[in-house]
Amino acid sequence: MSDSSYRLVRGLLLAFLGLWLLLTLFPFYWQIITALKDAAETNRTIPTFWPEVWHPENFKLVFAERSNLQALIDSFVIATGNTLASLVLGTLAGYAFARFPRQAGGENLAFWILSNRMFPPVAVLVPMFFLFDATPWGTDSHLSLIILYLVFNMPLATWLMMVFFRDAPRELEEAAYLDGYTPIKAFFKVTLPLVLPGMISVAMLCWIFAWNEYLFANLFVGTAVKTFTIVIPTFTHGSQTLWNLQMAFSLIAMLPPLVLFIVLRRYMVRGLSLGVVKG
Amino acid sequence: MARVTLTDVNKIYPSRGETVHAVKDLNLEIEDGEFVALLGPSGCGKTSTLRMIVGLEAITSGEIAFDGRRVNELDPQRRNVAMAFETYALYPSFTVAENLAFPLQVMGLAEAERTAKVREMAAMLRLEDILDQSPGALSGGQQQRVSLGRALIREPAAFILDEVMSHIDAHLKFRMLFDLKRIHRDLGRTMIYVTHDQVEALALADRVAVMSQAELRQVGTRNELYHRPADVFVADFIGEPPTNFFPVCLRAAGNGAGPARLHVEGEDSDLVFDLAPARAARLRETGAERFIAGIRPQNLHLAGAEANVDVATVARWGAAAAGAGAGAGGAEERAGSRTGEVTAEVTISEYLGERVILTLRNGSRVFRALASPETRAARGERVRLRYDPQNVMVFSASTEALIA
Ligand SMILES: Nc1ncnc2c1ncn2[C@@H]1O[C@H](COP(=O)(O)OP(=O)(O)OP(=O)(O)O)[C@@H](O)[C@H]1O
Ligand SMILES: [Mg+2]
Repeated sequence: MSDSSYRLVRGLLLAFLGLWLLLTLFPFYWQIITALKDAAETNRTIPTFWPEVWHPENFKLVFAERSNLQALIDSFVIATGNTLASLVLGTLAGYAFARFPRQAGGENLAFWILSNRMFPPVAVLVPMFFLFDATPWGTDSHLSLIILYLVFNMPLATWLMMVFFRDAPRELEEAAYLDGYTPIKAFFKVTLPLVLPGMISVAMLCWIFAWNEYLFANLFVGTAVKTFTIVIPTFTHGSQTLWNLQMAFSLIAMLPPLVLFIVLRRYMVRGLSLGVVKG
Repeated sequence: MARVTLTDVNKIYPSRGETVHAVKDLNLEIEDGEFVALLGPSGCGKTSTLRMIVGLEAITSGEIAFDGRRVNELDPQRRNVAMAFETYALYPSFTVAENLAFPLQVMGLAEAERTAKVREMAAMLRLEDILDQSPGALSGGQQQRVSLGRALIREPAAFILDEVMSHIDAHLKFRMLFDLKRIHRDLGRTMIYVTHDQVEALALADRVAVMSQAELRQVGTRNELYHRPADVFVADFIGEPPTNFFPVCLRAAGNGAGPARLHVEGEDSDLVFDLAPARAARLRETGAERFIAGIRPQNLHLAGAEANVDVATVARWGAAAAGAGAGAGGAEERAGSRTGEVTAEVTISEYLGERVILTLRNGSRVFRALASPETRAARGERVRLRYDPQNVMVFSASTEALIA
């Protein structure tokens, strides 16, 4: 390839990447500047691309309504509770499928569990509501969503943990048995550390799903318990929408997953490549 | 301390509809303090046997006993055995030193004592420079030595070592074989050593158990295996280069009571091996006519000018023949034997330093013989080869078992 055509291809590539970046980042930019405008400026017919007057106090104003902070806390409790439950169940089930496939029901059962994730959730929305309504804790509680989200997160956790455990050499545990460890001890001290990066990435996937879930939360909770996802639409009062507060609130809601991702990024990459690169 | 007894042990793996019979009716008794090598080609069931002994694999049928006490149902941690795995199985999050110390730590040994033992083991296995590294950063041979060290650092009832030298270079292996032998002598513990390398097995073990295709073929000292192989497989597997085999048919000379001869089958081959009368009688007892004859390349000696042999070599043959005869028993047999002779054409002459391997052809039959490096036999030349009829092994053509 000649030098000039090489430069042309490179230029085109850069232009494409630039355009793509513009498209993907524009909503974020819009979200941020909207969060910093006052309500009047957000409703102009001709929008402004840079706030005329900066209103960083919007981020404080959001919490004038105390329930908004509570919604973030509720979401956090539900997401964390569900993640812990998914991890415990998924790790145990994944280990069983990886090490004792015959006794644990084999590949078919493992796949059936995973296939639950492929089911369109809307189809069971209403039956699920009545099912949970019949429980002592009802639908409007942390526990109901923690359990309900297991339907989506546990299959994923089980399947991924199964893959990670399969890649963790069995001989390590066996060597530990011969050196005097009990199976339980060998599991916790030898095998679990090996799959820890995988576990952390599974935890992130579960947590983010539960944090962001809207459909079921909207139907199930709303009075005693509120998730932030069902609070976001409430910034619309009648014909007026408080765009600036809504954007400020959603920006705040983006922070926990973002922080989580930055802190655990190292494990996430290692965890997701566990199955690919073998030690 | 343990005497390990395996009685009619079978291992059948269920595997996607069909089953794999990995160990068949294995009977083996390993004395307390004995060093036994389990030798066999890849996939013959050596690892499966070990895993049943240490308790990692369920025994399909049969019984394994330590000191006469059945251990089939005993958990691995209660059997008090140390094992080095074929796949090393080093703990990746520990350093080399921590890996070595792990069994001692589980035992609850004090820190100072642990460190001293780790030092000692590291010195023996030449691991001093890498004690602080993690296993992931080591070469295959280094990992293998760490894994061996972790098994040897304890003093269990029995050591079980699975191919622990397969990735160690010849130079270091030589010293490690020596060290391992010394450890065995010092500790006096039972050792079961799996390998597919006959040199390791013959160098280390008091007795060698030869396995093939899930079955135990023969257990014996190196002399027994070499001079009285139980069947064609063992004769072929033990010894380097491998034994020459010929399909033969037995023909009596004269009235049938005299010396018999084994005619090698094949259209254009005129190879004939002599047999001592006593052995011929044993062959006739079987009622069969066709057999498999085997003779080791070491036992075929160039005769005449090409040989360029000296008196000492001739004396050595005599000694070897006497040794073999003692195994076979029968003084009259030895008395009746004289040197036999065959002729063949040299097709390849491989010079290997201290010896020369000649590949010879007689008609369509190709076989090998060893010669001294001074030999003058050249390609295309027709040579005469002498052998002692005592060294001709005869196997059944149907069962491949040794007859005489
Ligand atoms: N877990 C298993 N499931 C099914 N088949 C197995 C299993 N382990 C071993 N086998 C089969 O059993 C046979 C014997 O295997 P084993 O590992 O004991 O051989 P080996 O003598 O140790 O071979 P190598 O020298 O290659 O290590 C092989 O055919 C193998 O495929
Ligand atoms: Mg093996």
